[in-house]
Amino acid sequence: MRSRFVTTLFERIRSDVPAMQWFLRGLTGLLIIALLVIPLIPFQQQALWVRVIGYTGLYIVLGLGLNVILGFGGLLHLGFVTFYAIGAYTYAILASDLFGYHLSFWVVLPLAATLAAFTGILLGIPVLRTRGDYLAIITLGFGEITRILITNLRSLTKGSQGIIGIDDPVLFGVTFDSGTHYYYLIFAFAIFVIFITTRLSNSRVGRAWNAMREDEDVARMTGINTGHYKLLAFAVGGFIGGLAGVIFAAWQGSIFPDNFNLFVSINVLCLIIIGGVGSIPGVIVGALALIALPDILRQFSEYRLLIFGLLLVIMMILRPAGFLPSKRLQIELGQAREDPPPDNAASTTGGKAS
Amino acid sequence: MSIVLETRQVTKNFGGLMAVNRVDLVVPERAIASVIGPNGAGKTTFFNCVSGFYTPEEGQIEFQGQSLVGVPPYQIARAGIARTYQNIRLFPAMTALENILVGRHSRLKTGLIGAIVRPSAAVREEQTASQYALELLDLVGLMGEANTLARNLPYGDQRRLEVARALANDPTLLMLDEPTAGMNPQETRDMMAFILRIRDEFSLTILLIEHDMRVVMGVSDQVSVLDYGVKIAEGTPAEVQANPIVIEAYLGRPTE
Amino acid sequence: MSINWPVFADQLINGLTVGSFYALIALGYTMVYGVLLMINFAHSEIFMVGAYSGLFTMNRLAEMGLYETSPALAILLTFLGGAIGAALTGVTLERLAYRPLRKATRLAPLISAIGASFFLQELVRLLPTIGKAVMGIRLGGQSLFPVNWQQSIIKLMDDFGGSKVKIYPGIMTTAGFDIGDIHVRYSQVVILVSSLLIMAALYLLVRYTRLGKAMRAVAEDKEAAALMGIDINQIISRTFLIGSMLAGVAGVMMGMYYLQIRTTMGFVPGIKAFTAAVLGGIGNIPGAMLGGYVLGLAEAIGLQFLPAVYKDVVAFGILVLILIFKPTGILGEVVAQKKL
Repeated sequence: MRSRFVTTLFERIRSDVPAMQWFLRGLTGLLIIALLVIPLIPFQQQALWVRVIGYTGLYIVLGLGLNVILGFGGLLHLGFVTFYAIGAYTYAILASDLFGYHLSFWVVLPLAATLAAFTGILLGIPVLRTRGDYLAIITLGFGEITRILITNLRSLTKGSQGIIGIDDPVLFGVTFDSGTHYYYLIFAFAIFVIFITTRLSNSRVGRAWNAMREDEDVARMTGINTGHYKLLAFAVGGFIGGLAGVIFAAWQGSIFPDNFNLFVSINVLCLIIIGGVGSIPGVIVGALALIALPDILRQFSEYRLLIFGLLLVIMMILRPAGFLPSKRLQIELGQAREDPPPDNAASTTGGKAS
Repeated sequence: MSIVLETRQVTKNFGGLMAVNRVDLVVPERAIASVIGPNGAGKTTFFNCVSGFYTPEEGQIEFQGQSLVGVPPYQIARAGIARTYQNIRLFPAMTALENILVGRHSRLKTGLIGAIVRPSAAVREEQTASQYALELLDLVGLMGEANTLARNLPYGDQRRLEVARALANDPTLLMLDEPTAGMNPQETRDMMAFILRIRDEFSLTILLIEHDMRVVMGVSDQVSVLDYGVKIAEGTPAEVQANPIVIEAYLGRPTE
Repeated sequence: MSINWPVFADQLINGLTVGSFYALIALGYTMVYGVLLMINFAHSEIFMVGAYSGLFTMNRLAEMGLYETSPALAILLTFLGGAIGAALTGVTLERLAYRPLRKATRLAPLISAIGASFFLQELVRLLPTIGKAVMGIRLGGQSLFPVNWQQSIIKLMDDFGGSKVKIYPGIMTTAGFDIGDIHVRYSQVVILVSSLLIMAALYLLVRYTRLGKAMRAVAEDKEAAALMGIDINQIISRTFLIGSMLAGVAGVMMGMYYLQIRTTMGFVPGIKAFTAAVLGGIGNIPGAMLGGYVLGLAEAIGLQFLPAVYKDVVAFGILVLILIFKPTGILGEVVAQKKL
C-alpha cells in the first residue's frame, strides 16, 4: 500500500509536468493565504495596499469576463466597458438616494448582471452573420454609445454630475463600509468567477468554444451551433462584467460617466493580452502586471500609454500568446497557420474591384 | 432497402462557373457509394452542398426523406451526417481525445448551467463520452495518443483521427473526402479495408470521394462520375470502368 | 414634425462636406481591407497625423511668406505636406507593425494596430516633451546636438505636436453665396469638388493603371497574384501609401474646416469612415465613396429627429442595421472569399 503510493508519487515527479503542477498548486495556496491575511496584520501603508489589491481583484474579474468572450469565444470585443457600466449604473439607480430606491445589493447583483448578459446577446446578434473582425469596430462603437448615453440621459444617470451616495451591501447584519470589507468581497467574487470560468472551460461548452475558435466552418459541420455559442460567450462575459460593475459602484459609493471611458475596455484587453489570451492564470498575472506596471513605470508615467502601445505591437510580433499562455492559443497565435489551399478551382470568387 | 440520400438536379455555381451542374444521386442504405472524377470536377463542392456549407442555387437534397437545402450545417450534422475533409481539418490545438469529443457534441446535452454546477448527470455524461471517445481512438489505432495535440500527430494518424471524429457523431451517413489522399498503396488498401469494416460495425451508409478511380473499385457498390460538374456516368464499378465516356474523361487529359 | 427647411438644407450641405471626409478616410480602410483582410485600426491616427503635418507645413510656409506671395501654391503644398506626413506614417506602420504579422491569425494584427494607434496618438501628444528630454541627454558631458540646434529642434517639435488643441489659421471663411434662404460656403464647395476630383483620379488609377490592376489582383487572390509575378509586399505597401495620402488630405481639409485639431480627433471620424466602408461594401472602392456621402447625409437627416449629442449614435445605428440586413453593403464586397 505504502510502496504503491510512493511509486505513484515518483512517477508524478519524474514526469516534470505534474511536478510543476504540484509546485504551482503550493504556490497558489500560499498566495491565497497571504492575500487573506494581508488586511489582518498591520503594516505600513496597509490601507493603500488593501485598496490596490482590491482594485487588482476587480480587474481580475473584468479580465476573466472578457476572457470568456475573447479567449474562449475568440471574439474581439472592444467595448467591454458597456457591461461594466450597465452593472454599475443599475446598482447605482436601484440602491441610492437618487430615486429613493434602496434595493438590497444581493437582489440587484444578479439582476444587473443578467441585464448586462442580455445586452451582450443583443450586441452579439448583429455580428453573428458577418465577419468576426467587424465586431471590434461595432463593440468599440457601442462602448462610445454607452458613454454618450450615460452622459446625456440625465434624468436617469444625472449625467456628468454622477450618482452619489450609493448604498453599501449588508450581509448577515454587517454593513460593508470599510476597505477591508470590500477587499474580502472582491476576493470572494474573484474566486467565484475563477471557479465558474475554469469549470466552463473544461466542459462540453468550453470544447465547443475551442473548436469554434480554431475552425469555425468545421465546428459548424461537426454539429456545433456556432451562433448559439457566440451569444453564450457574450452573455457569460457580459454577466461577469455586470457583476464587476455592481461591486465597483458599491465600493466607490459614487460613479461618474468618466469611470466608464474607452480606457477601461482597453485596459482589460491589455491585461488579457499581457497575461495570455484564453488562460485564466494569465488573466491574474496580467492584472497584477497592469496594476504593478504604472508603479514600475512611475518615472515614465507620462509616457505610460506611449510605451504601452509600443509594447502591444512588440508583443504581437515577439510573444503574441502572452506571458502565461494557454496551451492552445500559444499554438494558435504564435505560429503561422496557413490557409488551406482551395479544394477545387471553383471556390474562388467572382466580382471585380470596380 | 430504403434510400438514405437523394439529390435531384443539384446545381451550384461560382460567378458563372458551374461547379456542380444538375447532379442526381441516390444512395441506398448501407451502400458504399463513390463519387469520382478528375480534380476540379466539383466533387468537394457537391459534398459542401450536402453538408450545408454551400446552399445550392437549384435542386433538392433529401436525407432520409428530409430536405437539407437551407438547413444550417450544425443541424445537418445533428440529423446524422458526418464528414471528413480533403485537406485534413482537425482542430489542431486540441488533443486527439478532445477532437473526438467535439465530434460527439450533438449527442451530448450538458449546457451552461450543467457545465458550471456539474450535477451527477453531467459528470456521468462526460465520463461515458470520454469512455466512448477512447474506444473510438482504439478503433482507429490511436490508443496511446489521447492527449497528443492533433497537429502533432503524423499525417496518417490525422486522417484516421478525422474518421474517428466523424464516427463520434453516430452518423447514419458518413462522407469521406479523398480519405486516401497522400497515402501509399499499402496504406490505401488498409484504409479501404477499414472503411468496409466500419460500414459493417456501425451500420453506416458511406459516400466516398476519390479522384483516383482504381482506389474505389474494390469497395464501391455504386460509382458516379463527375466531370466539369456534370454527372457523366453511373453504375457498378465494372460498368463504369468499361464506359467509354469515362475513359475519355480520364484519359483525354492527364489526371494531374 | 415641422421641418425648418433652410436649417435642414444647411445641414444637408454640411452632410455632403462631412461625407467627403468620411469617403476619403473610408477609402483607406477599404483598400487595406481589400488587400490584407484586416481593419487598419490605426488609420484614424494616420488621418490625425495628416492634419498635424498639414498644419506644420502651413506654419513653415507662412514663415517663408509663401501664403502672401502665392496662396494657391501654398495651399497645395500644405495638402501635400499633410499627405506626405500621413503616407510616411502609414507605410512605416505597415512595414513595422503589420508585415511581420502577415501570417498570424487575424487577432494579432488587429491588436498590433490598436497598440500602434495608441503609440501614434501619444507620440504626437508627447513630441515636445520627448524633444526636451532628448535634448537634455548628456553623453559624457556632451549633449547630442549642437546648442544652437537644440532650441530650434525643440521649437519645431513643439510646433508639430503637443497636448494642447492646435488651431488652423482661418483660411476657410464662412464667405459664400446664397440660394434663396440657403447659404453655401465657398469652402464647402471647394471641399466637395476637390474630394470628388481626387476620388475620380483614384478610381481611374485603380481601374486602368498597372498598379491598380495589381491591387485588384491581390485583393481577389493573393496566391494567384503572386504566381503571376506580382510583388505582393510592394503592392500592399503602395496600397497603404495611397490610402494614407487620402486620409492625410482629409485631415488637412478637416483641420481647415473645423479649425481645431487635437490628438484624439481621429477616433470618431475613423469609426464613421469604417462604417462608410462597410456601408458601401468593404473592399469596394466606389462603395467607400458612396458610403461616405450616404453616411454624411444620413447624419444630417438624423439631426432632424434627434438632439445633436446623439449624432454619433446615428452612425453606429446605421452600422448595426447594415450588418443585420445587408452585411455585404450597398455595392457588394470585394474581398477574397473563404475557402474550404
